[in-house]
Amino acid sequence: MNKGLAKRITLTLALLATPLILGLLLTYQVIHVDWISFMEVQPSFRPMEDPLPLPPRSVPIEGVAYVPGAGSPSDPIQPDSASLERGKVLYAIHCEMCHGGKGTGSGSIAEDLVRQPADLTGINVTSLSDGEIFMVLTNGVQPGSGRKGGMPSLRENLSVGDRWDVVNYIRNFPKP
Amino acid sequence: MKLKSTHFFTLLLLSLLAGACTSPPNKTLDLNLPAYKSSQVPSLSLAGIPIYYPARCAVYATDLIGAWVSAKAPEKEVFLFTDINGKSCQGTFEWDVLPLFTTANLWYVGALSCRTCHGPDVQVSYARLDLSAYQGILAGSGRSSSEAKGDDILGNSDWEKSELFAVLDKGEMPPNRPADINPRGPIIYAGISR
Repeated sequence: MNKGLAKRITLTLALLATPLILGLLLTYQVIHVDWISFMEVQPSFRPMEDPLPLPPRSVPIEGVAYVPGAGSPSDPIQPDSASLERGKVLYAIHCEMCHGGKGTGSGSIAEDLVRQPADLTGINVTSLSDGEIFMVLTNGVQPGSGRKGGMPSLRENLSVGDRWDVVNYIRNFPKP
Repeated sequence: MKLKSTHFFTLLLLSLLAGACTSPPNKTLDLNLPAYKSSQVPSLSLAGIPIYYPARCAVYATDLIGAWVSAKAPEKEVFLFTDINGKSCQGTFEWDVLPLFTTANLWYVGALSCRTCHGPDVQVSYARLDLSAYQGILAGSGRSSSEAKGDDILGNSDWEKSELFAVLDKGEMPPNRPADINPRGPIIYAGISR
């Protein structure tokens, strides 16, 4: 082979391989570069901040959670084993830290709250209808200015179906 | 073969494209959560939508409670009230007044029911007040136990001097009521015309 040609081929391969290796190093973050994150530069809201308002006339993909002025909604999901199992998982994630595994209001952070979380097995909760419990999950309990205690809304955490699953689970707590 | 700058940049571009098209390492977090599939809400439930009956009377919620209080807060007997059209009507506590305390999404869109916070166990209820039943409403607020009576919230049957009227009229209750809501509450269909 011509010595000059071999040199050019070697040079070409080297030039080809260098950016390829560089690209792989960047792709696999061996060389980490903080690229501009477009999620951060666009209008967004931070955790625990109120959600952005919905566009006018938008309709939830799951349908409306409740009809304005129509009173307490009724439970559209049967409390079958599948629903209770889903409710159990969601309860463990979103409720248990305050209300406790047995629902008695003795969760791991309960003592740090200004007001004891509700005993979900007590008469104040068991006497509520399914729809009233659903509304608590949806809108939280905000006792008003100057009053202690309350519960955050879970509508951003739980879809409409998820909330009804939790309602079903709360209604059917395992007996101790 | 002579390597031109255009060749170099073409090769550079191709190489970067090849690198970019390679799948990045999978970095999903293993949270060890059980498998979960969300419930499908079958359809919109319309069971709670009130049905209009011509014989029923349209009245502001607070006016209806006021009429019941002014009639000495009867438990079983009917009480009289006038609806927004001037029609003479009658109602009962159980059918017409109690649902105002035990129905969510009534006083304003998304409102909790009164008994959500003012439940039968006064030891844990807000203001130690039970609005879930007749006896609790009459027993009043600030009760020390389920048997004890507290401070009268019905103004000794003088509605406009009652604590219940005050908190409703000022918009304190139900809490977080939007400012543009009528302080007399929603217009509801209740009772029957006489």
